[in-house]
Amino acid sequence: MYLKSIEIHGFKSFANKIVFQFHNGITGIVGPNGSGKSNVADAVRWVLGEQRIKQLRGASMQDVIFSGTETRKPLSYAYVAITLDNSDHQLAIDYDEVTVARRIYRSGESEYLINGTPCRLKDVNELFYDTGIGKEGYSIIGQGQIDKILSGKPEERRELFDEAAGIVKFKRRKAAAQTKLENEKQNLVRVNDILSELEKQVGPLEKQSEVAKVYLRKKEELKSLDINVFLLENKRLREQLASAEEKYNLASTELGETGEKYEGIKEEYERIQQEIESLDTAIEAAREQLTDTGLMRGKLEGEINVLKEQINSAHGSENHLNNRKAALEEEIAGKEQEKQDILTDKKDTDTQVQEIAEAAAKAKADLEAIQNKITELNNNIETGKNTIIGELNQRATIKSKMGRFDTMMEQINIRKAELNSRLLRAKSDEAAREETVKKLEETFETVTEELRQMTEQEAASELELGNIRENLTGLDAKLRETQTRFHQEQSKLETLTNITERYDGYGGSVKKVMEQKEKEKGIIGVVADIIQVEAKYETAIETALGGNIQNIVTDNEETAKHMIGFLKQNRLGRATFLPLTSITKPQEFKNPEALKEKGVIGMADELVGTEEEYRNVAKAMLGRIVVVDNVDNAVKIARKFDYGIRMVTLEGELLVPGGAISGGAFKNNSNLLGRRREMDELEKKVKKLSEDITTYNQKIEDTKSKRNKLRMDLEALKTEMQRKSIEQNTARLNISQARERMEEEAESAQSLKLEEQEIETKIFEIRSGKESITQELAASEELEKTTQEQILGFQKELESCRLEESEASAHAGEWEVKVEKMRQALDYKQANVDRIGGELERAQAELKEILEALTENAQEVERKKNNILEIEKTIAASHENQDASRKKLDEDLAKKEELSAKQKDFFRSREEMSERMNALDKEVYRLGEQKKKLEDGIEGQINYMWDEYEITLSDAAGLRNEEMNDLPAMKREISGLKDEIRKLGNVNVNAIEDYKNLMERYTFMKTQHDDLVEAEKTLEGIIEELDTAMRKQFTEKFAEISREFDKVFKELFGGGKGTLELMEDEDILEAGIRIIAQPPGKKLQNMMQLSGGEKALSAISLLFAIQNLKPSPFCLLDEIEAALDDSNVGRFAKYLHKLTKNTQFIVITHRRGTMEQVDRLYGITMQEKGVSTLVSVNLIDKDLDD
Amino acid sequence: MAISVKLEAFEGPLDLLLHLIEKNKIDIYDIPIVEITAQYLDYIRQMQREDMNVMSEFLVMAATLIDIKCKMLLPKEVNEDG
Repeated sequence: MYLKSIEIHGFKSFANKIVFQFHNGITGIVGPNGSGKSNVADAVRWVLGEQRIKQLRGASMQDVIFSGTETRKPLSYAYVAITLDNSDHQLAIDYDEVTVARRIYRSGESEYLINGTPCRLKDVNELFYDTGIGKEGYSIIGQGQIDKILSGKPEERRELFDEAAGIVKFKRRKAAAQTKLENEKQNLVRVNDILSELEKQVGPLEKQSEVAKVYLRKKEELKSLDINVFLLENKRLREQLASAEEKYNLASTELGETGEKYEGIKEEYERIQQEIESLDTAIEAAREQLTDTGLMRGKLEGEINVLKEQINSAHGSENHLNNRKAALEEEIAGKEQEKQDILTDKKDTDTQVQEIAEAAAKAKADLEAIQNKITELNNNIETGKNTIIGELNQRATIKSKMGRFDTMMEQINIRKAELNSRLLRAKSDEAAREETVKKLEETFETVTEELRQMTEQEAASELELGNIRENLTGLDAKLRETQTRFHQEQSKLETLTNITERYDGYGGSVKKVMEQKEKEKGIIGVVADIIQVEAKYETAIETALGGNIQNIVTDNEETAKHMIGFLKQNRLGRATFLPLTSITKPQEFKNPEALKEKGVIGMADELVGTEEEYRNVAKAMLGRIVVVDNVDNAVKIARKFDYGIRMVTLEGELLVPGGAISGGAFKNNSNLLGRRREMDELEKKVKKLSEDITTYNQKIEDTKSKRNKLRMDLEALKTEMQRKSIEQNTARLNISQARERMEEEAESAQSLKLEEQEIETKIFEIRSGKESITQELAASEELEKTTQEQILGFQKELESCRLEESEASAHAGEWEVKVEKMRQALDYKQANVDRIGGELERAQAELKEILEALTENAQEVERKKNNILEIEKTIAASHENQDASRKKLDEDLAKKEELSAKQKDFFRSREEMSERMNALDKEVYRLGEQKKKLEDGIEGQINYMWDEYEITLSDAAGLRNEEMNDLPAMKREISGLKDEIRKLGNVNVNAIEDYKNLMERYTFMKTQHDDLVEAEKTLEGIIEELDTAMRKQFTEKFAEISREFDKVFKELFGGGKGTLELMEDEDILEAGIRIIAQPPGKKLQNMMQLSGGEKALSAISLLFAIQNLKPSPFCLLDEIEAALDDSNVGRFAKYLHKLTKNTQFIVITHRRGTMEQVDRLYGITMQEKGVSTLVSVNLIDKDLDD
Repeated sequence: MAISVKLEAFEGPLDLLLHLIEKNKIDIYDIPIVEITAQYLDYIRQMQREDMNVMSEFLVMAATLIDIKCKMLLPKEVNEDG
């Protein structure tokens, strides 16, 4: 496979299609600097897919397209094709010849072609894959590679080797990864900051959290213990309470029983006491009886003696009695007579008594009648008085009714007065309110008025604003128009000035020269200044003069040359000078006969006026020009004189010798003067316009400020209006509310009036009630009066009755006395009867007695004898009695003894009982206290539970832990716990939650952080592996290159030694590469210390070495031997020849040494500027020699 | 070449994972990069020869992941002085 040809068209300086044909061996391409020979290398690079525009020495890809020259148009595309011989089928394609082409258009479109078929860059790359051909490989070696090797920067040199070793791609990726890792490490520092910040918090918080947890746990334990202690103690207390109550009840009942017993004993004791007492009396009695019995017997025995005596005396009495008996019988007979006498007297007296008694009875009856009457009267008086009292009571109620009415009246009057005052106030309020409403309405009206005015003002302002706006628009339009015109005119002026300079060919330059007139005395003036023309010939003369009209007349050539130098030096343009010294009198007009032709006016110089000294100038300018009236004539004349005469017509056609005719007319009638005038006018116009602009601007400014003021005013007005309308609203509302208020007040006044009416009716009612009661009262008083009178009547009657009574009673008395006297008389008579009767009786009784006494005496004796017998019997019985009594007494005494003993016992037991009762009483009290204490304890505990844990007993029961039973231990534990809790000090319970949250965040961060660190580590491991692989590959390749380098070095230097060294102590992958060279006869040294030429040669050696490792079918060398001296160039060229066995060389060079060694030569020049062409080598030779 | 990974939150080629993460379709916090590298190392071990191409490609992707994750961990930037 070899390179057959390169076709280039439109690429860079190759404007024309050029084809290079190549054969085996070395082909040279030569040409001078800038001929475009290096573009051949660029073309090959490009067609092989170079994308880096810098490598092609351009700015954008389109720069490779031929861009035209002064004479040539740019091309629209660039095209390069290389054709390879593929008869050995080294390329994986089924053709014996392969053409690879690339084309780019100005539009930026680009295409690749293989054998004319469009394809992708990739296909091209694949086609050449592993052939060593390509933009990257060493098939094209330019100055660039040499530079890289010679670069002071080790990394650039390094890259070359990396490329050769094929690890650039990996190194780049590694670098990318490392950059990212670096970045990540940077950020990781920040993550670490945050982590450590968090860690700082974690420690203390954890501690706090732990403490809090311990605290809560202990609290919980404490609670559980507390509750259980509570439960246990509660239970215990309840049990104790129950037992205490039981005991209490027992004691209480016992106390009761004992009390009862005690009472019983007391009663018993009393009973016994009584018994003893009764026994005592019985004993006493018995004793007395015994004594009495003894005494009595003694008496009885005495009695018997007495009785016996008595019997004796009885017998003596009997005599006496009989004596007496006789005396008595005598007496009785006398008395009987006396008695009979008195009885008769008595009978008379009895009848008298009867009569007198009747009279007395009558008197008594009279008295009784009178007394009855008196009682009746008294009754009547009583009833009268009662009636009066009744009336009085009646009247009291009436009076109270009356009082009631009065009071009501009073109250009502008070109410009425109040109502009246309220009514009055309501009226005055109403008046005030009406006043207020009136005022409010006034305010409303004024505000409304103000608002209306403001609205008007606003409208006016708006109108004015509108006007101003219109005004402004108008002004603006005018301003713009003016500005536009200003700019137009100004640029017209500018252009004119420019043009005058540039296209006039003179203008400015002439001016500049004329400005030098002061310094340069040699300058005389412009032609136009030194001639005068009549108006009718103006056109003709101007045409005749043409540009010469501005020629500058000088004294001599030196001045002219000097001024030309001046113009050149300052690049001020061209000017034509007429040095008077060199102005010769021109040849005479050769065809004077022409002046006689038709239409000829004369010679131009003769139609012109000038001073004598400049006559020559005029002659020189116009001396051979004929002025003719019109073209036709002129043409005729020209023909006639064989186009030998310069002619000008009055209309300005110019006929030049040789036949040229100038003519035509301008759109604008213009000449030099005209142009000047136009510029002046323009200047004036521009000035005017700019003035106008400023005035307009001023006006606009004023108007605007006016407008702004107006706007501000309007703004203020509007806010004011808003304020006012709010005021108006306020006023309106106030009015409506005030009116409402008035209505309300009127209503309430109405209700007041109604109330007043009601009160009036009530007053009327009360008055009528009062009247009726007054009548009742009068009636009652009347009744009382009459009753009083009646009573008086009765009392008088009573008086008289009493008198009667006393009379009657006196009467009755008298009668009684009479009766009594009668009766007394009776009584005396009776008494005498009785006395006599008595005396009789007595006597008879005595008689009787005596008789009786006699019998009795006898009886008595008898009786006494019996008595004695009886008494004797009694005495015997008394003896028996006494024995029984004695016995009874003995018994009683014994009994008493017994009872006394019993009593003593009772006494003791009663004492005991009393003591027992006291003891029990105390016990009951104690137990009661104990009970209370226990209850209090229970209460206290329950309260403690509630206060401490808000737990009721039933709640607590739910929390019973059956394993907790050892109370003392529990209590010890509790106090221990409390102590521990206290020792914990300040506890932050929130810490638990806080710590949890913090830990979550921390753990998250930490996990991610660790993931990163870990991953980073593994990646670094992978990097290490990659490095190892790369090192391996690099080391191998490097050794190969080094070996080859030595070979090539020896060849090129004709001896010596070349080695490559990696810098010690550095990573193979990054190590700088030292190129050690030992040119023959010199010391081994660093290539960088070599001279420029040696350096270049070493570099070339290195490049060849690399190329040799993987020889590509062809190789293009682009002026790589420039720095070599001629002898080295020779060696270089020779070496090339050696390589041609494997590789076809195309060498771009300007060194003869190389050219001499070449098999074939192409020359490239730029005969046409900017366009490279192939030429014969001869030509090139010549070029190179210049 | 496509290096595949099999994670809790994702299964598929690594470059897809990267793409999804960049599009915010996957939360990078759910991606344990260590796991990915571990799987990669297994993959490499199985290949039994070192392919620098694969290695370097993986390197770049893994580093990108690490970088993204680390950036995500940082607090959101607040402009100083507005």
